[in-house]
Amino acid sequence: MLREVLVISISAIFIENFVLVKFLGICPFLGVSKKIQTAVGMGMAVTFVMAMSSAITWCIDTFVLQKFGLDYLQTIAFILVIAALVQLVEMFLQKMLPALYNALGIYLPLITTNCAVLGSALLNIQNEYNFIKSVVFGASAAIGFTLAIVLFAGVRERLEFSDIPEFLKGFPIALITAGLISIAFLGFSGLQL
Amino acid sequence: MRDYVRLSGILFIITAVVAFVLSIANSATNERINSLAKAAVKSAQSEVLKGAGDIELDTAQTFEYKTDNSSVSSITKYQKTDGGSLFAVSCAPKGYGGEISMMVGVDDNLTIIGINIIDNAKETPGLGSEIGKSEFYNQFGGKTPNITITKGKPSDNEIQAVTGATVSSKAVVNGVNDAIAAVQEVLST
Amino acid sequence: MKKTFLNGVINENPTFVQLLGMCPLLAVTTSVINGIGMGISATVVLIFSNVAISLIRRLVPDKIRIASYVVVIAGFVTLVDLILKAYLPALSRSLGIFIPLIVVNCIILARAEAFASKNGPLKSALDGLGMGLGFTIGLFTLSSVREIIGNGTIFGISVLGSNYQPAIMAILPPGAFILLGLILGVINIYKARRKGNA
Repeated sequence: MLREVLVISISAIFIENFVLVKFLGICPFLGVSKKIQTAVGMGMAVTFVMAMSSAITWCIDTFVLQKFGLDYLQTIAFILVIAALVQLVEMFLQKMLPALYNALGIYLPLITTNCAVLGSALLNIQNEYNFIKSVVFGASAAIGFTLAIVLFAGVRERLEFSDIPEFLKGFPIALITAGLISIAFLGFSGLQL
Repeated sequence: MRDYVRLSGILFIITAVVAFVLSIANSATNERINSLAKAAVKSAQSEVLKGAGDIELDTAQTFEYKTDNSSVSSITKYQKTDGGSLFAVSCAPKGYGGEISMMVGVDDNLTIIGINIIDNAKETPGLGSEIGKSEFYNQFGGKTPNITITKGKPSDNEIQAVTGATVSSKAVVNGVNDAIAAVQEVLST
Repeated sequence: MKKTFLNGVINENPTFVQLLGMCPLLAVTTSVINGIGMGISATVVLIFSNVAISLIRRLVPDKIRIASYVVVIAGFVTLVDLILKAYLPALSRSLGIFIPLIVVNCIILARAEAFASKNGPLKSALDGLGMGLGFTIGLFTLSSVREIIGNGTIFGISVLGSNYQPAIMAILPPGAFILLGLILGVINIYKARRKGNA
């Protein structure tokens, strides 16, 4: 069991990195990665939401949807849970950590439409993970997301000062950089777990 | 407070309407989805068994198979028209990106008749997904237990791996070996 | 009318101008068939959700606006998902979880919020069609480039001859990022030229 959990965790962070290999959560990855600080904040918020949502959606799926044969309501049920959860996190941050709240600004409500969150909930069910594995998978995938976004923000901060051909400035060079980081992550795929 | 009740009431009504429409759509498509899945299994079974003579289709007998460390999920046994029996084994070995769903045909001498890859969508496109090509999986016909994999020229009981996709190729070989082992177990009981 | 439609296809093309819906764009474009399948599925959802939201726009209180839109969108996505599973199982398998993930495709919620909640059903349908078509064009462009370079084929038909050694990198994840970056770069050059001439 412990070994299995460890394997799930490591492959979710490195081998099957949500952003760089599975293309989940690209919007915030490109949107909130101009500064390392905001990238870290976003990563933490996403990690919290994903671990929680993995736990709650697993319970709903196992104890309600599967029991009554309502699998087809999965998408709706999951997205509602995630939306409510994000709302809660938002209220919590606004009260407790206003500085972080201001820094994350408009991106917080956007976690709802971060496909990594819904994606991990759906993948948990598809892979038939149990409760513990689901939570570990959700949290690890989010850590992988954080790792990718922070690395990327680090590179982008430096890009600001480099001499880039006019036509590649802004988005194109960001995408090409992401591609290069993704190549680096391809290296992990040789890991045999 | 009353506002909250009203708002959640409206949201609830919207959700209920959507859920109702979906339940109709679900019952309308459910049967088709299930029968499609069953038909896919049937055709995969006859595909992997077709090299071994005629079978009595209505003698099909399916066993669930659940053992640790085996990728086999079920075995279907068919009687041959001229005596003897054939086995179509469903298994899902772990490949590179996830499980590879496949079907293995085995005769009662534990020789492979043929195999078929049902789902390779989780393997890397262009590399691992090549296991779904007949050039690769047709190598398995006629092989006997303890199949191994090689990157070079294959000899007797060896399978040549797909270039650049050793993990996926190895997974398929593991699935086939699991299938043989499972059939051996069924035969010995 | 025509303007509403063309707006989505060209001026506000969701892929090349607004840079929305990046996840499915990068993920499913390993082959043209997948790209177009995703494009059509998203277009269908866009048109129907736009119309439905436009119809209920006066009934929904402002505070639960987004939540209601998400429920409506999720409903249509599940419908498309069921239909694909029943009638196009192969496509459904290869698009995998990206079909249910249409729910969180920013394009759809963005159009609901920015257009359908302020306009009539007919106009909203046209907007959905335009945006969906724009998205499909984006998917088609990237997927054809990736399939030609990475596999030497388009729609599965060989176009570069059997001597072509496919550059598999193009259909691996990094290829998606890099090629989309280059395509956007080319569009920038084109835009700059046009500005220079005008």
